Amino acid sequence: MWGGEHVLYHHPSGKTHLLNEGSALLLRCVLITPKDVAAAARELAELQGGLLDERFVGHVTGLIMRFDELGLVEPVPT
Amino acid sequence: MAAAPATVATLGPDGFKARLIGEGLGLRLGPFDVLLRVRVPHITSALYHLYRHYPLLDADRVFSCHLSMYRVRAWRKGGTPMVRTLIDGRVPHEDMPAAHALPVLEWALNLAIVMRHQGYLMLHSAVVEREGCALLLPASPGHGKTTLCAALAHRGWRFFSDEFGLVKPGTRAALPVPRPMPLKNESIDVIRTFAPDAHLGPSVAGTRKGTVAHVRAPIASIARAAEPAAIRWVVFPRWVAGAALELEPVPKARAFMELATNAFNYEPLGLAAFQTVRQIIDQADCYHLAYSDLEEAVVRLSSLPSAVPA
Repeated sequence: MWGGEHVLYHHPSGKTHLLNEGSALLLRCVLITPKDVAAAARELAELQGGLLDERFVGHVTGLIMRFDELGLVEPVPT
Repeated sequence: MAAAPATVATLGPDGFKARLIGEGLGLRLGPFDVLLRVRVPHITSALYHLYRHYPLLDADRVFSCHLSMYRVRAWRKGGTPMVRTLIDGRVPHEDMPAAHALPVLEWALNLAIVMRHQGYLMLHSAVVEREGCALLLPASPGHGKTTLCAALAHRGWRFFSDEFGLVKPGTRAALPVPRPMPLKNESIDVIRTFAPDAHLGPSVAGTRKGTVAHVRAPIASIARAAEPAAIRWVVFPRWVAGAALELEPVPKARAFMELATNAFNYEPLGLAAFQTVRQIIDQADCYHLAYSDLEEAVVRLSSLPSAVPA
């Protein structure tokens, strides 16, 4: 981590990703246990001291979908 | 005191030619031992002048790679004479015009290094050194890295490479591979003017990259080709016509991504490459450089402080 930006090496794909502070927080602190998008958004908003509104939930949904595409997270059965 | 190793010059032009077309010429290029066999008479003299200061190896050893080039017969009357290249007995690309043999041979040497030495992290970067600190100049083709590198190499910097930032994984030490520097098009006259003492090979027109002429690596850099240096600066250069000089710090995470994506073999090396780039970026000052005036760029880079701030 340098200056609020994170560089992540993903072993299974061998790819390297650049993450901003929010994305890194979501991946490293929020998605360490299974949860739905609403819970993830709520927890991230609390960690960042930000507003939890529809726009933010949409943003977190987009991030989780992108993480899934990259193989950084995976869906689990509920 | 150990005797200095024999250089290619000890063969003289005739002995050089005989080796090239006969048993092969063993050359040490930084960490690589290469056996060259070249049966293309019109480039022999230029090759001799470009390589005369390199350590000469006897042919009775294991080489990192064997590189051959020979003329092939034109199948139709009036056809363009062509040359064929072999790397360890295999033909890596189509035959090329014999008139372009010299740059083609140099490109084949680059290819041989990339193909045969995947154990090193290979950054697509020029590298020079001063006061024990290496400066990486990673850039895509056309950004002026060879020209800038040639200029620095003729203003007191030790020349490592204009093409390969070679790093042993797990370290942040750049390894020298001093080879002739291929200038293209307008850069040829730029360097002739900037460094009148530079030795340039013949200009070869009409290649895939336009007109190409090689600058011989400085003798002192060849003599110290076994001495690595820790990477102290990473500067991403870009020549922009008419631009005022700008040297802007780059956030380290951005520099990491730029450096990693610029490597020839970052993904095949996997975690070892990631850790090596991290080590480099952690310890280096990173900048974007935009310039149009070569003299100004050389002065600015030469003023970068080598001491690491406490």
